[in-house]
Amino acid sequence: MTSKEQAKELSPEDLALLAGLRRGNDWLRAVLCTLARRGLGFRQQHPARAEQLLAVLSRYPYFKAGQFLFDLMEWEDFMLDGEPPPLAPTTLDGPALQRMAGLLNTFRAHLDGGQPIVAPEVDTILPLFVPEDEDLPSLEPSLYLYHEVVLGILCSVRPLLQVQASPDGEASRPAS
Amino acid sequence: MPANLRPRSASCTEQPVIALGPEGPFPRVRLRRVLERRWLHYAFLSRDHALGMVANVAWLGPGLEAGDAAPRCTAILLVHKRGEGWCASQFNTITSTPLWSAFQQPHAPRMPGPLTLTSTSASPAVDLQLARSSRPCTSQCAWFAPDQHLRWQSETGVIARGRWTFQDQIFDNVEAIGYHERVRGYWGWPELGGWVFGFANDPGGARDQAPPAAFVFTLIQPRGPGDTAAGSVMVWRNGRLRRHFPRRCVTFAVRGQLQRDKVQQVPALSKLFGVPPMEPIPQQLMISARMGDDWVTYDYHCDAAARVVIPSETSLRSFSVHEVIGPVHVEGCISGEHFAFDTYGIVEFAGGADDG
Repeated sequence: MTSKEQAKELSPEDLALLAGLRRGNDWLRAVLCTLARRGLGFRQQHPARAEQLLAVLSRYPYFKAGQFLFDLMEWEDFMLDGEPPPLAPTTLDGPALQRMAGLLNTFRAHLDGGQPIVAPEVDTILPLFVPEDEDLPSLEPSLYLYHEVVLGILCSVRPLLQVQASPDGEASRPAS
Repeated sequence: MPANLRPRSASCTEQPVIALGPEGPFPRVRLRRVLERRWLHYAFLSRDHALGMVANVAWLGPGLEAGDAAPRCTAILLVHKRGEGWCASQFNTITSTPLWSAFQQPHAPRMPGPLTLTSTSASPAVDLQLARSSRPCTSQCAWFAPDQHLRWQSETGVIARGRWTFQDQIFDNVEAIGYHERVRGYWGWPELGGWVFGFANDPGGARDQAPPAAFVFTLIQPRGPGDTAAGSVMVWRNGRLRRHFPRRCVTFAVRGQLQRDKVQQVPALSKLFGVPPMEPIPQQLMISARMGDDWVTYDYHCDAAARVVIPSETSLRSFSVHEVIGPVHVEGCISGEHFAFDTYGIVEFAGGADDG
């Protein structure tokens, strides 16, 4: 049965529901592809650094879980299927990172009663992110896109992780 | 998009009326680079184990300089008759359109669909109606080299009925049970290194139902980096994937070597390539997997092998895929349920492009 024939069998309510799912799909695809293109841009500019980052992260439990979910949901095919989506430049931008940091802080406090619920300081986050999405490379089927998405997330949160030089000149911890 | 993969001319940008994900076995995106690959793989054994077949349809990117050229497509069919050996096509098997795939969505179980593969010399050939009885495993991906990857997804318990042609012999109304797989990715044969892969379906149970148990394993051994070998063992019960043993829970062991006069080199024209001597094939392969109280073993004896010689795009040495048929004993315990069966299975031992 073709998709046009399927559409004839469905009620307007069904079609409205599917249209809503389709809109969510389009948004998710744009977000994932934006992250992947940021990651690909980073990899093309810093190939050795990207390789090292992925080598280190490949032992990280969250990286493994993410890879499993990425494969389980067949997101690579989903991202590549059809016309490339437009960029979603607000993906993991300042406000999004602020909310994400709040969410993670709250989760930590719920998991560990000794941890305070810390409201992220807007001023320390918002000015740090500079959109650089204008000249991002296109995605190709030769790419293992989970890696590009991970690199894209790293690129997006990188402004939060500015390494501060300590007074004695040693590399120091990330800004909290 | 390859002409034999979709029923009609569909541009890369055509969107179905209702599309919440890819409709076919592969996403609608043009293959461009030479090492971008897609496969549909089929392997079946008749219920009486007298006949076996392996077929692979592959697409390869045309190269960046080729612009909008269509991907290159090759298709090969091997049919085995117990006691008589293998009969193989060249890489130009004629395929029905569209190619059957369990990953064509939506796809109802037990709804037969055609798959016809015919050598240009008319033998071997199969004219089958394929039907799903089971569900696929999770899509899996091995990455290596470090910018190459191989993504695959398999489904056991595919039931095939129809006509088989082996040399000048025709067998009608053959019922077989087997395996289907989709593969895509980007890799060169030297970097991929080698793989060992195989399956077995429990022949018991009702004819139109999923096999009571099924076993699939994969071991991919890339050249590097050192920790990139990927492997797994999967067990289906009654058509559902019940356990996926990850690499760390699986051990592989081999013993002996298959007598070389039991290995037949195909396709026939490959003998003109001047390929180096074949790699030894083990006589016995033993796989065991354990995770908690669940365990499974796969005790396989190689009986007859066909060495498929595949030209390598990036190395002088060819890549060899040894398709092997042999008896296997599978035994295990999943969630307290013990199972065991004896049947024939198909195993692939592949590699060789990175040697020398």
